[in-house]
Order: sequence, then C-alpha cells, then structure tokens
Amino acid sequence: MNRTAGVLKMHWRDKWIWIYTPWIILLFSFAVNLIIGVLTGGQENINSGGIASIYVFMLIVILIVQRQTFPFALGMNVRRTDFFVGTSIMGMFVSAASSIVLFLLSILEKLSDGWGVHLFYFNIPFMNHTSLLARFGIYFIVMIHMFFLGFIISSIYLRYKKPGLMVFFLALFLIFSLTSFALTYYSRWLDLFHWIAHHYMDLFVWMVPVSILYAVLSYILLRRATVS
Amino acid sequence: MTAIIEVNRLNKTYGKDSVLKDVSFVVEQDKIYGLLGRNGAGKTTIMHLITAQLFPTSGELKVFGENPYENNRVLSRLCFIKESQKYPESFRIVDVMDVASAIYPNWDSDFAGQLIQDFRLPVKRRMKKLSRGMLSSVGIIVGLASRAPLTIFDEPYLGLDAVARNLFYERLIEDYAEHPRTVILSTHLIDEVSNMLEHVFVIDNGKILVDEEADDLRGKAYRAVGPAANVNAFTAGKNIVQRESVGGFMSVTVLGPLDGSERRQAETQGIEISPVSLQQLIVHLTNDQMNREVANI
Repeated sequence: MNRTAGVLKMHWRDKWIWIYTPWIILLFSFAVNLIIGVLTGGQENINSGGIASIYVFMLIVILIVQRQTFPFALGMNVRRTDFFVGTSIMGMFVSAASSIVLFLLSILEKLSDGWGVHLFYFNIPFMNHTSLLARFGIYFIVMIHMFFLGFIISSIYLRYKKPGLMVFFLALFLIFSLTSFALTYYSRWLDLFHWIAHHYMDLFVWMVPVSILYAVLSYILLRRATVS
Repeated sequence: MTAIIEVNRLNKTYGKDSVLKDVSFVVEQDKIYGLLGRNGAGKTTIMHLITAQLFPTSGELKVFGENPYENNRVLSRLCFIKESQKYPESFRIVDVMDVASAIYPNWDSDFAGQLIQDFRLPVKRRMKKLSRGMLSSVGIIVGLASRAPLTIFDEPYLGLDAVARNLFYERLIEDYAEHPRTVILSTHLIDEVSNMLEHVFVIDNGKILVDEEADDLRGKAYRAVGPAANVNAFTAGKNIVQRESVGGFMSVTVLGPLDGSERRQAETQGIEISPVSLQQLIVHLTNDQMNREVANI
C-alpha cells in the first residue's frame, strides 16, 4: 500500500486540530463582531480584520501536528519523504477547502451588505479593487504561506531541537533589528510604506516562490531529522 | 540461510560519548533473536539504527540487503515496537489500529481484533489516558498483527502483569509457527523468554559480548556445589565467574564446557553439577568485574 496514503489517513484522524478548531475560533470571533455590529446598529462600517485568526492558527496547527505525528510516523516505519509529502498534501487540501469557504462567505457578505450591519469580516478593504479570482487566490496563497512557514519552523525543531530554534529566532531578531535600525538611520520608513501601499499585490505573488522555498528547506531538514 | 540484517563495524557516538563500538553481527531469516544487556548498553540504539530512525556515525548496515535509510523496500517489511513510542495526543486505540492497517502491508485486522479482546483493551480510550501496561499492550498488538517479515520488540512489556506477558509469549509463538518471520526481542526478563530464543546477542558498553545459538550458550557454564575442599580442587585452573561459600560448602560458577569424565569425577567427590540459567549467565557476563572473563568464552 502507498505509505503517503497512510500518512494522510493519520492526519485525517486528527480533524479536530486540522479543521474544527481553526473554524471554531474564526466563527467565534465572527460572532463577537456580529454582536457588536448589531449593538451599534450598523451605523458605521466595521472592518474587523478578525479573519487573520484562522491564518495565525494555520501556522499553529502545523507546529502542533508535526511535533506529534512525526515521531509517531517514523516509529511506524514510515519514510521521512512519505511523511513530508502526505503532510504537505493535507496542508494544501485544508488550505484550499478553508479558502473556498472563506471565499463563499465573502461573497455572501457582499450580497448581504455586511450581514445587514455593515460588518466586513471576510472582505478586507483593498479587496474591493480585486477580481473574484484574485480574492480567492489571496485567501489561498496566504494560508499556504502560513502553513509552510509553520512547517519550516517545526522542521528546524525536529532536526536541531531547541538549540536550533534558539539560533533561528535569534538570527530572525537580529535581522529585524538591523533592518529597522537601517531604515530609521537612513529615514526610509516612509519609502517602505509607500512601496507596500503600491505593490501589496506583488507581496502576495512573492509568497508563492517563498512558500516553495520553505517547503524545500523543510524537506531537506526532515530528511536528516531523527527520532529516539 | 538468508541474512536479514548485516551489521559491519557499526559505530555511534554522541560528541565524545561512544554508544556503539565496532559492532558487527548477522541476523538470519525466520529465527527468534534475543538482544540482551543492561540499561544503556546500546540495545535501543542498535534497533533505532536498523530502522533508520537514527544515523550511524560510521560502519556498514544492511537490512534485507539494502540500506534502510528512506528505503520503502526495507521499511515496509519491518515493524519496530519500542517502549518510547509516541502517539498523537488525540489518538484513541482504534485510531492507532486504523493507521497501522493503512501502513503495514501484511496487517491482519481479525488477528488485531482478537488480540484487543485478549488483552482487554478499551478501544475508544485515548492513548494518553492508558496505563503503562495498556500502552505496552497496544505496541504488542501492532507488532504481532503487522506480521512484518522483520519484527523488532524493544522492551515491549513495561508495566504488563505476568498474565499479559504470558499471553504475549503464547500469541507470539503460535503466530510465529503459522507465519514464520524474523523476530528480535530486547528485554531484561531473560528467564521468561529464554526458552523462546534461538539465538542470543549480549551487548554491554556498546560492544557485542556474546553472539551464540541459545542452545550452545546454555552449555557454556555450569555450577558446582559440594564440600569446599573438593569443589576448590575440582575447579582449580578453571574459568571461575562466581564463588560463594556457606559453612563447609561451596558453590562455584564456572564458564567453559564440562566433559563426561569430569562429570563422573565430580559425582564421585560428592559435587553436584547444575546448569546455569541464561539470566544468571548474562548477569555474570555483564557484571563489570567479570568483563575480562568474557574474552575466553
């Protein structure tokens, strides 16, 4: 039997963490926003941004899942490659399914003029100018990006354990500090914001190769990861 | 005989710590092996290397004639049950069985169901809520029902009571008779399994001390009990691993063969000769002070 299928089956058994929990959190946050909308009588537009919760949780999902399932899968004599492929497929499937639901909800939100109370939860302001396809693309790409970002972080842990993560976050901290210092020193913050304001669509496009890079690096790390 | 595992001068070091030192051995098809030794001797490390869950520092390792690393031709034919196996938090016993049935090609669901009943396991209970003994039972069931051509049990019965351990031995022997395969058993409870084992490896301090057929090993040592003077004379010049005296009597454990004439000589001097159990033998062998004796075995 194909062992990637076995890995998929293993993840599918954990629907709670992969699917239910992120959506419960998202819908709970949505419900709170909706109540606020009803209480304020819909006089003002609410641009909540609460949709970010499902994206943050997508990163947390893979951190939790990989740490628990990798030692289990290897203990069941599954190849690291099969684990990587199966987990990636699961991540892409969940991202695609969630994006479709988000997309449908965003259309419903538009049609109902913000659920009748001008609450724009699933639509983000800039999306008014994008095509439907692009909107779906953004939902999907950002989620995939979060998934593989989490994947590489947990792969660093599996390969190099705690010291690896320490070095990684220390390096990240240094890079951010230096960049921020340089931007302040050369007074370039405004330029950066201008650039982002005009090119934010490019950022989404760039998430594609960046996600692929994360995936490749995760694979390389996992290939050398051990379990004891 | 077909070699299932060939290990040649295998080394594993962590920094300056040497866990395995130049380990070499061969495991043949369709036999039951015992991998015995004290805690920290390197048993678990060897098994992790065979299953490519750890990487050797140097040396050659072949399983089914190939390198096991990321190799499904090898990995799909083996099943390694370890005491330290981790399970995802949300998994229940049924989930483990379900995933196992998807992963192991020879999985026998009926057999697994039968074993779950025998061990009286609550299938709907979460793995993290199981007692140590139940956790061990789950491992044993996966190991037996997977029917992998190479099945490795590492301390499979931590926390299991005597009844459950017996059940494990019975089922293993029964199923082994119907579906021959290579089994490696690592354990502390040597006496319990000694009748099952066909070949024994003893590892101590990262080195293989003994690599013998179990029957040959049993004839390797004996105990002589009798009047102190007679026993002393009888065992003089022999390889003595243990000496105890009570009153005028003495009990001496000797490593080495005992031939017919010696046996008759002992009888006439009132010395009683008795066999040494595998467990006692191994205790003697892996007792630090005795390590020097081993070169002679």
